[in-house]
Amino acid sequence: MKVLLAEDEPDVQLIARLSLKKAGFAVVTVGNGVEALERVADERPEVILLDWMMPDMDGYETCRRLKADPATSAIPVIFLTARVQEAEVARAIALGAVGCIGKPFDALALGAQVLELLRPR
Amino acid sequence: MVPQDPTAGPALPDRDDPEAAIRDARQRFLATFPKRSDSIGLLLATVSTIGARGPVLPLRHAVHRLTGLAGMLGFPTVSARARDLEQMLDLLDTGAFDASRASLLFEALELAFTDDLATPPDWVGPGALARGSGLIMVVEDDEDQREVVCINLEAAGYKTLQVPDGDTAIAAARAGKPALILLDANLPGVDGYTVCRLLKGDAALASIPVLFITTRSSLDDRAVGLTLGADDYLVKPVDMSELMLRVQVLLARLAATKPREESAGPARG
Repeated sequence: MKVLLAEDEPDVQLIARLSLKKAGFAVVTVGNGVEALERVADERPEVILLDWMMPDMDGYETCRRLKADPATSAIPVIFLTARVQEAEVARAIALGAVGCIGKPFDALALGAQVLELLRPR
Repeated sequence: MVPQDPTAGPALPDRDDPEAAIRDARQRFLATFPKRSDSIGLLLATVSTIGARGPVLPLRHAVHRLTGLAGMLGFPTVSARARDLEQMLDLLDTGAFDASRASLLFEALELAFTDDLATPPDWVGPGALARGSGLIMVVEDDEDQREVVCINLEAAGYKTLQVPDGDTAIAAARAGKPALILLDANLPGVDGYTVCRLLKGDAALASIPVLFITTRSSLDDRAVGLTLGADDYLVKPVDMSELMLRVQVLLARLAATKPREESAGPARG
């Protein structure tokens, strides 16, 4: 399964990439929402992980644009965020995301958390 | 996560191993936390002074990144305090931001670093704390105090070089090439401040971090030490746990800057 990971903190990006790779994902990394939108058409990921707060374009705006584009609207989006209060999760779901993974996350369990959120309900 | 085996020999780095990446990232975090903290403190002071017209977004980004990264790397209290500060910054949008409270939250965040450093997660392993195999020079005229410091350093895995006075400190540093120098300010003969000035003025010795240990506690004395190029400053009586943590941080900072300096190559002229 190919995942597009948008995260601006280099060490978090590195650890998440290696952890996802170890869990069997093919991982494409970008540092912000603008890059995520640029790469999504070529990479055709099966799931997108978005940091909530990033420079240039934050995760929410990136998600809004992904869901507004018929070419990308079906790709599941998961937020990586320190804000896992009910209102924030509700806002993410309202935007079309499948869920949120709270920061700080257990890096070595990230792959399992992603698969759990993608599991049909 | 599997704790490191302290009896195992040095393992070859596995570039694809997330556990190794986390341990490496923790070392980088140790080295860069003072800079991150200083940056947040400066931004916060500006925002507290001029409010929402200040650098709110860079401040939010810096604190947010700290929240996520610290928590992943075994600094849960730093992460929690950073989140508290993040929530306080949210109040800038509503006009309920309290600069005094934000300042207290920032102080708590800085203190949390030492607390978390003293209680590393299991996956760091005992080897990480005892990994200090470098030579530390201890310049202290009181033999008992010198012995106590050296015993603690050696118990933590460091080698030590004892120097009883300032007169021989420079020559001892040249001969021993220590990784770090602990320097008492009140030495007979050449005092610690003079030793520090001579060290920092010597191209071959200037890069060695200096940590002052002294009974002098006034702000002026502290300022003199730091102005002379000292890297840290502790006032006696020194808590040995805190000393070990500061030594670890200074050495981690040095390790983080050396590869950059070495890879930078000669300056063009």
